[in-house]
Amino acid sequence: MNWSDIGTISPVVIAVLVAAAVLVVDMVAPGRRDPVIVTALGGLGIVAVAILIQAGRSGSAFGGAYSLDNLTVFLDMLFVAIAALTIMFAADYLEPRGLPIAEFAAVLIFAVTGAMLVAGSTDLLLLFVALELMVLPGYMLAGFARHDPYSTEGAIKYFLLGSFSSAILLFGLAYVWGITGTTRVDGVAAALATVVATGKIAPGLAMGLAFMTTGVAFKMAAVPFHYWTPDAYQGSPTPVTAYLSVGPKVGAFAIALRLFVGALGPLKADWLPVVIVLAALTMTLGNLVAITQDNVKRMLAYSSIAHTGYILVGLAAYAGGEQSGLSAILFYGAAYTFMNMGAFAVVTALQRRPGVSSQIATFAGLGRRDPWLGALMALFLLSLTGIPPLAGFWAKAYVILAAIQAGGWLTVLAVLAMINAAAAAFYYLRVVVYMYMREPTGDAAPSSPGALFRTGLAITGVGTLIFGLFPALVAAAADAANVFHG
Amino acid sequence: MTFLIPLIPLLPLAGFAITGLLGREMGKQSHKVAVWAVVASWLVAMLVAFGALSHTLGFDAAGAGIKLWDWIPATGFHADMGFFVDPLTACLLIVVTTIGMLVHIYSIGYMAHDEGKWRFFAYLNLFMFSMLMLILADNFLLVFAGWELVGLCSYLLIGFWFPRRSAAEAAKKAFLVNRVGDMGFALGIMAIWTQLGTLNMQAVFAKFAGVPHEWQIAIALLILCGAIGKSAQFPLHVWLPDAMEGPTPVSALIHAATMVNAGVYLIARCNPIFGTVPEVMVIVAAIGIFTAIMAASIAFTQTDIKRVLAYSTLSQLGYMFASLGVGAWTAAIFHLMSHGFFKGLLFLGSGSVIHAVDGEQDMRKMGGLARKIPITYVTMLIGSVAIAGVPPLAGFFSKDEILGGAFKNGFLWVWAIGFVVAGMTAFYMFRLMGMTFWGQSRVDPEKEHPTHESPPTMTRPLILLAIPAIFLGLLIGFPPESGLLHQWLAPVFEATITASGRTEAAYSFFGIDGVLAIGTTALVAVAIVMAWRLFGVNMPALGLHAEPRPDRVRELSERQGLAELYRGSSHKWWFDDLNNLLFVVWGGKLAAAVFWFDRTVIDGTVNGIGTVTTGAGMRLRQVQTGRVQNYALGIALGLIAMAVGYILIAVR
Repeated sequence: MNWSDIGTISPVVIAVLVAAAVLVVDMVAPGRRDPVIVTALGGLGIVAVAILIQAGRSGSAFGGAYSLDNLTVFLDMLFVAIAALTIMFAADYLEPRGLPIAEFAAVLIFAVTGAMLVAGSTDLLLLFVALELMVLPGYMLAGFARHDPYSTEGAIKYFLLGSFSSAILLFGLAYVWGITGTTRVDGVAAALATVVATGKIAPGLAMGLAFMTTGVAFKMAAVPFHYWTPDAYQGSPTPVTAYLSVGPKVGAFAIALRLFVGALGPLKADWLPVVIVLAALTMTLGNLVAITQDNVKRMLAYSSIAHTGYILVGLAAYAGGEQSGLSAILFYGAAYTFMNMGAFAVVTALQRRPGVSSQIATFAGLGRRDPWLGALMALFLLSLTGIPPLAGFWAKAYVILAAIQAGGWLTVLAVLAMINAAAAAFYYLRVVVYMYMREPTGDAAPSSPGALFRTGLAITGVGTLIFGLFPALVAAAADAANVFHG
Repeated sequence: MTFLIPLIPLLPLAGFAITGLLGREMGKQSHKVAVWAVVASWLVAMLVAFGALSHTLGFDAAGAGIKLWDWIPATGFHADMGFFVDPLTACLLIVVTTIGMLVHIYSIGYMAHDEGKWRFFAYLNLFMFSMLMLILADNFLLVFAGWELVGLCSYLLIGFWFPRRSAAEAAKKAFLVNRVGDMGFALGIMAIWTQLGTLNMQAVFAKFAGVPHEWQIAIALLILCGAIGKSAQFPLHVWLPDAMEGPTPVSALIHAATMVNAGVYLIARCNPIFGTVPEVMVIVAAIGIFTAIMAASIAFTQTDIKRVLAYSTLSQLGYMFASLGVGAWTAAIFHLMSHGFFKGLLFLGSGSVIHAVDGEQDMRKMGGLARKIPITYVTMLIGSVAIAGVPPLAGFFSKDEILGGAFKNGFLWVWAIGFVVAGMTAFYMFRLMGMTFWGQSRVDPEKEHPTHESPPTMTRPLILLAIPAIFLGLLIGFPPESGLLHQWLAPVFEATITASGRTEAAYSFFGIDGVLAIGTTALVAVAIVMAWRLFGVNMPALGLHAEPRPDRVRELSERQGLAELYRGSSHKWWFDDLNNLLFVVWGGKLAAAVFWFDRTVIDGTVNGIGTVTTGAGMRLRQVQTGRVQNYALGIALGLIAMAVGYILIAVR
């Protein structure tokens, strides 16, 4: 280790310091909200600057275990944005429920630190440790409302199943290490390339692939490893659900990029059929079940499963020989972050007063009670549906186009994705119908979120719109990031 | 002046944003911003249309575009945010902005007492923006964006009176049926992109001849699929009659004069694509003419005034499709324009009638309204004469060109069916007039007393629309087949017509064209007289008077041979029942089955296996922790399936 290594991972180091600083501030001025939020958001701003300073550079640290490239920068920026937005949305929700904001912010930033480390990992061991650093705080966040039995139950389920799947992933990594004799991503790729060149893969390697695919599919919440999602999402405090639906999901795809594309890239012909099946199952089942939900939080949970399916289409397109599939994954991640966090934020806003449920009836007449909130929710839902010219449309268009370009069975997958996108309109627009075509129910709480919250909403709304009107802004960055170390 | 083009859609968009967000606070004034936005948009559109049609103000014969920005310059995929105006767009601009503006003005009166007025005007503005984006777009992607948005607006406006269950159902139906067509259109766009690598319309048209023929057919069929959905052609026609649940100005604007024309516009715009695939053109013609006669036959027996007009719209759209299919491109656009004006007029007129009799839509409870609402009566009479095809009103010229085109391009069967439909149109329109305005009043006595003419904001648009309904044909369609419209649109369709190898014989009034025109006119005259004798007429100025004869109508409807037809017509040929069975009954069962599958089979298998392994005695304790174990078991099962899969791949 030397100073240049520290320089390379400086965003991660700064993020850890920010989390610590948040706790210190809370000790100095206990129970006060504003200093904590200023520290957290200001600190994340510094992290963002540190990331942007590195933009365009490439390098590695710790003997190649950690890599700095365009992918790292892209994902790190996304994670910082996720953390900042979550904090903006959480403050208003936690306060009336008597939950401590400082602990929340610190734990969240630790989780994001893990995610940033995942983004740069080019060593299987570091990848696993970083993954655990990302998900462990996630379990804590899921159970953050510790007096709420549902929150606790969801957290426990999430924790147990998550640990189980982590073990499965680790087992798979061990197989790879056993066969290739190295844990460095580039080393693994080189060794596997010779394996592929000599003919068929050994059954042991096939087992390893099965373990790794299962582990990663669980973290992404792909069908049939999705069981934990609805329970964990519905039980968690809503801002946590917002975070869980994007943070760990993008993190899981970061693992997929580093592990499957980077290390296991030479085997892509072998994992392609599995990814196609996973993608088809995931988007279809996620959508069909989302149609029957009457609770918006649960509906968004199932629909997030469907979105995993669409993103997997991008991964499949890459394996089918289409490099732009990777850009599509990154674009999807960015677009999904903004529109989905926005949608959850509106749910959060409605639940400002404790005791308000996320049943669809809560949304009745929102368009008239609060035109701005209603319009934003409609924007997010239309974008999630994939209606042009919003961010979600391009996200879907990119993955589908990449799949069509790749051809073969992927064309079938692309058509299936389009059918799914059409079906998804049904349940997303149902909420729009409730907002604009139902009389408000009597006990509906007037929602007047604070300035911080409104800023967050504005950011997600503008992002959803701008990514749709000027997709080139993100697409260019995603294109630059689709060739990376490994 | 091309820099003005973006203003046309952006003004209504601004109106939508302001009215949507602040409308509730504006109270009684909530229509102001929306109406002025559309008026301003109309002014700009007229200027642009003038430029595009006269090839001045920076436009030339091929049109002119304006690129706002590179929408997506990503690798391998490119689309601009840009608009393009050529004479075809200009014709559509005239129809859409003019009728749109008049409907906005009309709605001030029609919606005056509705507490959701601001919402209504916001949606109307959003619709105008979407529709204008659709027709102005220079690439398929932007067209698709407008395409989806008009569908959304239609959905919101059909369901505007959402507490009425039927309105909510109709909105859902319209949306779902349209999604079927939209899917096809989206796939067509994808196919275009994979084949040509561009979505810019002019570039696509220029390169289209190089596409393999089977792809040409596929692309044309997929685009047709979208057009059928939006223009409510068979077999996706079922949503339009139900869409009449929306407020009447919406029916006039969206479901008669503008949005439903989008399919016709799309095919006309894609004439270089359709011109290369004569086999698809035959399908277009067949679908169109079948829809025309089927819908006309249903219009015969409907008793709801708006439904008669809705089926009439289907039938007239069918004419336009038939016209496109036989290669009479200009005639289709001509009919689109004239139909837009007179059908808009008829719908707004029916709204005025409904307003007068306090919400009654059943024509059996009308009658004798001519004296009570004279302005509505006269303007609707003009509209009926125009749509019936009586010379020299607008409908005569446009319909005559369609029939003549079918005949001369060798589609005798299209002509023959179209000829019959012309007579049917005249009959059902005068049935409507007779039942509504002539004969004795059958209005509910309680509603009889306050029957009154509508306020000027409603009658003035009627008068203004009656003017083009009378003169449009003479103005742009005379002399036939070489009038102004033909000169305007020649640059758009010339290449396709030349490529089709059909040499257009000059219009010969003393030859075949004259015979056809006289024949159609004679049939129309007979049909009108038949309608008068059955349903009555009372026009003292012309010395015409006949009492309605309901007994004779009943006798005819029960006569051997006619009774089956009558039943079929009044049941709309059972299309709704078929759809209900297919989609509502079976489709609902499918969705329920999938949920059941997830809960019972997937969860159940997992839970079931878990139950068996842990033993029945532990069942109570499993409520909390058991499920987690079972989930874990599910993951393990998935892992095993995954391992089997990979082994199979490895040994293949």
